[in-house]
Amino acid sequence: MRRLAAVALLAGCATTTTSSFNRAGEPSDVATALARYQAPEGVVNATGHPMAFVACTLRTGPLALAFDLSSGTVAWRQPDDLGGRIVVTGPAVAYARKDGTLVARDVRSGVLLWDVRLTGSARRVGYTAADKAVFDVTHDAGSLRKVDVTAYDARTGEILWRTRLEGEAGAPAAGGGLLVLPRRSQYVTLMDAASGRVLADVLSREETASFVRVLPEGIFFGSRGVYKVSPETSTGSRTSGGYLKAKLPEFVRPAYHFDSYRPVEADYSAVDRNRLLWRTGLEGGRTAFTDGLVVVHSFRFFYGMDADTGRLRWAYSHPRSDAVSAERTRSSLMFISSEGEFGALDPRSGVRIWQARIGESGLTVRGATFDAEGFTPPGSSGAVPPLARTLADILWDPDRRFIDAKLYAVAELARVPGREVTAELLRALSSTDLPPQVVDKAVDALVARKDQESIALYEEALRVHTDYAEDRRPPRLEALAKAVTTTKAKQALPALLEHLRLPDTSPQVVRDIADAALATGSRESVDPFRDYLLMYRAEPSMARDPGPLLAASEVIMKLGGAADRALLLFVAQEPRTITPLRTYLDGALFPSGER
Amino acid sequence: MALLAAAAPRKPAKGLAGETIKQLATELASDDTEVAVSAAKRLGELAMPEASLPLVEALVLGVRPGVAIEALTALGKLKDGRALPVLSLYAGNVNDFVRLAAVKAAGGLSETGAVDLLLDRLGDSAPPVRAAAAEALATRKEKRAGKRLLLLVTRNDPGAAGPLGMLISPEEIPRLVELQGRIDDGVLADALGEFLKRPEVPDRLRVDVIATLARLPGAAAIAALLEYIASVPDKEARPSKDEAQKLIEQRGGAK
Repeated sequence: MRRLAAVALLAGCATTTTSSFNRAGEPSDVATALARYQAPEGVVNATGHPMAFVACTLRTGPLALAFDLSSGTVAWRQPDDLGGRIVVTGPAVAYARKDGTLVARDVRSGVLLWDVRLTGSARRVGYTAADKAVFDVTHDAGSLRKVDVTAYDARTGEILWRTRLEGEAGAPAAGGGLLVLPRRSQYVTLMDAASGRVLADVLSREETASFVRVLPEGIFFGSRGVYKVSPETSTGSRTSGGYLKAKLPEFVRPAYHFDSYRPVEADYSAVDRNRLLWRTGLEGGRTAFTDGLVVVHSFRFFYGMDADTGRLRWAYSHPRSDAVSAERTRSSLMFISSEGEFGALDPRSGVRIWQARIGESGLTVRGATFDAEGFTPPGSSGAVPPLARTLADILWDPDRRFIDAKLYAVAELARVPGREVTAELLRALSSTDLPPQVVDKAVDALVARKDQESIALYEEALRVHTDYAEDRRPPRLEALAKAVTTTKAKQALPALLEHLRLPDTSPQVVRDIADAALATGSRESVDPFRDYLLMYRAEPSMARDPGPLLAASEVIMKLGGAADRALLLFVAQEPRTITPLRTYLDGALFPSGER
Repeated sequence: MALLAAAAPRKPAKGLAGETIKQLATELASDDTEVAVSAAKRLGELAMPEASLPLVEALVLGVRPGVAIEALTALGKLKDGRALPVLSLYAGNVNDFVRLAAVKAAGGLSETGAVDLLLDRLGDSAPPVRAAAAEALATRKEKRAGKRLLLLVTRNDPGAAGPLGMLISPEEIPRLVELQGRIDDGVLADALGEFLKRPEVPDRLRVDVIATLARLPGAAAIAALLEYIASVPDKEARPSKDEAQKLIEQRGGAK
């Protein structure tokens, strides 16, 4: 094992110009820097094959594994306990171990090329790889502001250059001849990757620059949104035309990329399972999200969102296990599950177009890095599954972690027309497996649908009565009553009114049933409400909350005839009638105090 | 008032009885609950169909729960089928005790509608209401109840065990026996014990059932066997009786 890094350090190496930010935001500097940028295209590893580099664990222990995506085979595996993301360039992959040692392995064989320990006083900020070099950013243990950037030859570990920068820095990105370093949360320093010379500093005036990212289509930074580095965005203006921000549903954590300043995100983490996947292109001469789409990755689920409207275009639910890492390439969306199953989705439709598996039993994948730009997975795009079906899969996923995803699935289901969706929502209403807030959401969604086509389904659901022997409970009655109200579904009314005669019907629902009766204007409601009113008019427990009796009186008053008003008069005057009801009827029957 | 019309007497009571009913009807409408309860009781004791009208009327127009319970109980004593609609209404009351009284009253009616009501209340959420419906159906030997009673026993409902034993067909006994280990031994023993007592059951099958009871630990199985032995006339010899006796002796029970 060669430890050339230390040798090179002893021999001394060139230092380079450091920025002091006095020209930060200067468009001409940024233009000059970008002129050097040679966009990387295709895979960057020396095999020329699309690869995934995987941090995983077998029964025998942790290891790094390379998987050839084109052949669907494991290229190599090496036992090692990774403590950071795998980065890749030309001949090597590199990663940090948990003790901070930076390790490079041959990309073809996995053989160790070199490793270098952190010196005693250094703390790692982050590392990246590009252009056959590995760039390591550290700071002095005593000061976050003394930042060293070291470039190692990816094959030999020889130090190519080292420079010190003043000011807190985050994890770097690199590619196309540039090294990009976020600094002081406000600056993005563009450096010559070959020499370490600072070429330009972008000033992010309007939002924190918490990530930097290098893609074939350009260099990006941002936090709540995405800036494409250009002379126009050199001062971080959101109105400059190079700023993108997708409209997203509330449950989505808008993580456009890994936070360069958070050490935990230097390794594979929960953020890898909860982030936005996007690419950009030019649309009408302006930078835009490719296909106007941002993909939300949330554990097992991927949602294709219209970036402008936030409307869901498609959803994909991966069965059983979480997708622990995912990457959007130009042509597809690659992911790997915790069980070692690879998949590729068509980003336009969400259809799974390819799959492969690491055939190792007992494998648990912690995370992976994809080098798959330009990879077109073999296989064809199958039929697009109906969005409603995928959303229903998410709704009924037995994993109780996904409350937000289920709430979102219900909200989106509600937008999809058709009886099948109403049937799913009705099923949700009687479910004991769903979290209560999801059932509540289904209630709201069902009511809001005003689905005239599904009145027969409401009727069917209303015919289900509580039965202990059959272990049966009806769907949420108040939701069905409200659905009858909004649809004015007369045909469902008899089945609804039948619930007035059942002992398990909560008094709180009587108001909803009354509203349905009043909405339909059906006189057949009078008899059941009259029976209800008379049976409970002298019930002392109703005095605490007479609402159900008042609702019943209202129905009788509005829909009944003269005999019914006479009956109400009797109820109002009969001494055993509970006082609040008598008071109400007095006021309702004699509105101007004419008694 | 459809409910009242259904209960209207064909011939009003005349004479002293008529006067008594009229007086009790007035008292039943009293604002004093004790007076009303007492009137309901006395109406039930009159053993005259005409007495049911004021009870039905009171229930239809609405009374306090204590009065409703007594009025329903009285209707149960009068066994007047015309009261069925109001019993059905009160079988859906939210108060468990009111429902229980309505179900018990319906249990005494011969109308088929009463059976439907009782079958329905086998699914009641209150155990005493279920038990009352189950007992009434078993007393009527209502075979349609068997399936729902078996469901209740499967759910470990003790109130359904005895009635199920009284109604279950011999062909269904293996399904009941299969529940051993999944439901309380006491519930299973009660059901099997009642089954043993039925005179039409082939004795060979009784012996098999006793073998099942032998596998049940605890006092419930012994109690079921003792009850069975007690139900067999002293002079009647049955292999099942001998088997039951032997089992009790093995367990150190009564001789």
